[in-house]
Amino acid sequence: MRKRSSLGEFELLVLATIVRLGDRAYGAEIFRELEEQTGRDIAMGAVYTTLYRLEEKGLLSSEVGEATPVRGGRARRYFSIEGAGVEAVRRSVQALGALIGDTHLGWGTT
Amino acid sequence: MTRRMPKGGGRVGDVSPPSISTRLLELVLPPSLRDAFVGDLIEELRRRQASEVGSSPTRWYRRQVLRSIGPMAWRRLNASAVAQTALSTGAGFAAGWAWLWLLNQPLILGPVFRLPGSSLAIVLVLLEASPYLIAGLAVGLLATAKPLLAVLATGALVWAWPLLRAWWSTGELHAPGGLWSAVMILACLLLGVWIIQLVRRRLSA
Repeated sequence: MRKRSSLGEFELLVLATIVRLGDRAYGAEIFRELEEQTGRDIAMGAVYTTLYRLEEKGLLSSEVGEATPVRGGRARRYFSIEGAGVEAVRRSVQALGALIGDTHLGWGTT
Repeated sequence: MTRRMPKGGGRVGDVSPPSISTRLLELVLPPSLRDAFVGDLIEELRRRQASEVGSSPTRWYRRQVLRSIGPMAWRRLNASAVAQTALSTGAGFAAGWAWLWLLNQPLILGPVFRLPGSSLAIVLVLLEASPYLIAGLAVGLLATAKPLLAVLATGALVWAWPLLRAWWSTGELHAPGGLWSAVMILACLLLGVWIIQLVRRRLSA
């Protein structure tokens, strides 16, 4: 039986952040949101390699946006989640919920 | 209007990103991500400068570049089959010769020569083959796109190396080792690559 590729922890965080930010999420915004929500010291390179990989897997799509002076005249790249990406997030969260839900950690009981 | 000096140097609202770091980053980024990635870093640098987040925005920028160069260069390398094959060939060749050099140190091989006759013969054959096995392991670790091409290139390089060295020092060309040595080199390289692929399959199962 061929295994479905599963999401890594950081991939799941990035996808969830894009879902949270909506359709026109871009690198700096995703980076800030991730740092704020996870409290981690994150490398922009890690965010971009993950975005790149998720796009290769067909879970994300991207389009080039407008250039602004605050970015040194460089264009933004907007990322949006595809149907397969939503499904991958749903499967991962469901699996995590099933594993942790009934444990003494008490997920789903409060 | 008086502009306050931020801790990282430069004026608030008029921050230029460190140029060497930016150039270095642009060098390793794939063209499709270059503008977006560098633009995002500059945007975040200016936001940090304006809101005084962290100790030094300029230091933050340099640290981000340093932390991103490795993964981005690796990603770019993996996207190019030619670059990946060249790297794995070079790394395989270097690993094999480094191992050979180590084996030639008297401290390493000294105890081997105190072995009894038949055991010594077996160990010597294994030692002779081991640099090519190590080279194969290195090729297998790095070449995921075209491993067979990398094996052939490494094999050819290893086979022809003594000939090239002799030509460089004496100016004379001699025929390299015979067919048997070529077969042994290729077999050891393939064995190394196969071992790596087997381990990879086991780990991902």
